[in-house]
Amino acid sequence: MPVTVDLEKCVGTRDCLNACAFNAIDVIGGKAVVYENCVDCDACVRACPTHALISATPSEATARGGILVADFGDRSGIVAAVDRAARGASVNVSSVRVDPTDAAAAADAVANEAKSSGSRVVVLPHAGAGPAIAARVAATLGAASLSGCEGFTIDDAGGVRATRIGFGGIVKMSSRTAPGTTVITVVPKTHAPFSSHLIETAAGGTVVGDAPRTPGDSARTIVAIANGLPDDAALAARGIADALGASLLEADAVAGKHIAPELYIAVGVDGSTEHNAAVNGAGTIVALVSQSNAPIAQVADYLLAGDVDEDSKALLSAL
Amino acid sequence: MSMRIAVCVAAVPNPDKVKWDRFRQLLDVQDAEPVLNPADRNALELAAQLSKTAGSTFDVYCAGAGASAALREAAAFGAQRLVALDDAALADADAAGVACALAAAIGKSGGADVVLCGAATSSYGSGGVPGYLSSFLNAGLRADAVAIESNGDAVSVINIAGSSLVRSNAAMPLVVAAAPYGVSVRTVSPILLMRAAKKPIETFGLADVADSRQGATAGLPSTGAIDGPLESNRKRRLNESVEGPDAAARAITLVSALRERALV
Repeated sequence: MPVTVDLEKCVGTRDCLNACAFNAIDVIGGKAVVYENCVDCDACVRACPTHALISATPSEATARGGILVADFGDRSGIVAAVDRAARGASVNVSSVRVDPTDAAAAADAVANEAKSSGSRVVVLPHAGAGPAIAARVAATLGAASLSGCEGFTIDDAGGVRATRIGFGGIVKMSSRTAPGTTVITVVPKTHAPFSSHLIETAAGGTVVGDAPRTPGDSARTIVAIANGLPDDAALAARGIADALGASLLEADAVAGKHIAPELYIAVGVDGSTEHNAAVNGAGTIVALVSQSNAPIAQVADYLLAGDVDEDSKALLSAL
Repeated sequence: MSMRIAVCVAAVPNPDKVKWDRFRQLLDVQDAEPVLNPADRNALELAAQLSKTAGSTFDVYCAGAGASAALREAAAFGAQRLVALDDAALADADAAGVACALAAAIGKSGGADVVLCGAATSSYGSGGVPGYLSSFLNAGLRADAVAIESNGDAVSVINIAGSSLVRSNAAMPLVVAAAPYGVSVRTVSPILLMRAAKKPIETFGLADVADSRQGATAGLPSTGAIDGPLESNRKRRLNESVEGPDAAARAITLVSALRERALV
């Protein structure tokens, strides 16, 4: 029996569509429509920010022995990984939201929720305060921990198996924990939200500004320029970024991060190991370099080797 | 009494020299000498800011192999004491184990009011050490911090909370994890690095600092054990060299290819 839609609450955010792994939902005329191939996995129910989707088989708010997701906002981007794991192990997912300002208070609240629900897997986003909070939750619960996971499964014995990345994205590895409670952090990918209730903590604090953005964290296209690029080439690179509506950043700024734009254009960037690992998630990489044997050539889809100044100006003209 | 400030740093293989050996299918760290973990510079910067407003000094702790290289660089930020924990048991220690050893070393030195850490290491980077430390030291925890200053009996921390920067007061003892970005880190001059090279490093084994704690294991279940070989995480790429008689022709060829793939 498929999920049903409360048409009065539905405002057509399309979050359900992004969350559904079965193409069982669409948004037509600004309202969600659920098709017969819906398997009632409830991914859309959790994703809907207006609570417009109603599960055919409502589960308890907090699932005993299931997965507890602790989120900081409504856009953590870990919903897909959690849903895959939950479906694979046939366990329920419950979710809570905490204010990360006071990480100790947030961790204690999550640990209490996990204890009271008997959740055997606690999941947090591997971003911001997530890893620090996760470690404190693990210490409080006496649980094992896995950090920086790209995806995970729960095995029949109750342990967790996960794929993690290391050394700035150069390597991936598989890890597992023994049966028992496990706290894991998952690298955010798609930006579908969880629908969750806020646990109030006495965090307090005053907002003093906007958070600095992770370089290129949500840009579809990124143009990266090398430090010390000649003025003319840098100007052309800025023009390319403007023409494409892209984010412009210095290549050094991506080192140690993981960015995944659809298109990454590197102008005059030779590409250190750390840089190349950081942009590994990009859909397509274009490199404008002076030497064809620059390290970035190994990770580029398209390589223009020649005079960077001329090539960048010509690219700007061609756009 | 002046504020006692500690910074916990890590030594990691130089991220610029770590390579994937595609012929042997191995992670090649042979040429990657140990260096200060890049994210720990943010913690050292916050420590320097805090010690200035608190009118105190700060000590730096590092556990594991390569500690002296990391501590030398850390000293250039103005550290008072440099403490290395060198013990074979730390070679396989996970985040909980490292945090346990660091907590014991800090305790042995008389404790700390504020302990600062980087966000995560550039190697296996779990980012868990600050959280475990806060638990072992019975301290508060602030993560993703971009600024910190003394505020009488408390410290004022600005940290990233969602899309905002939030300032809040936190009681001590406190563990603070610096944000991986958003902190303006000072440039350390070669003269300061040369001076730092002369600073003595106090080296202890786990037996020297262990009190009620159980070696480097912390008595917690292991963080996830790696149960297979490391694999390259590199995506398959087209590796096409765009050719043409001149820059304009090459640019047109490239733009056509990108248009075909609906990328521009």
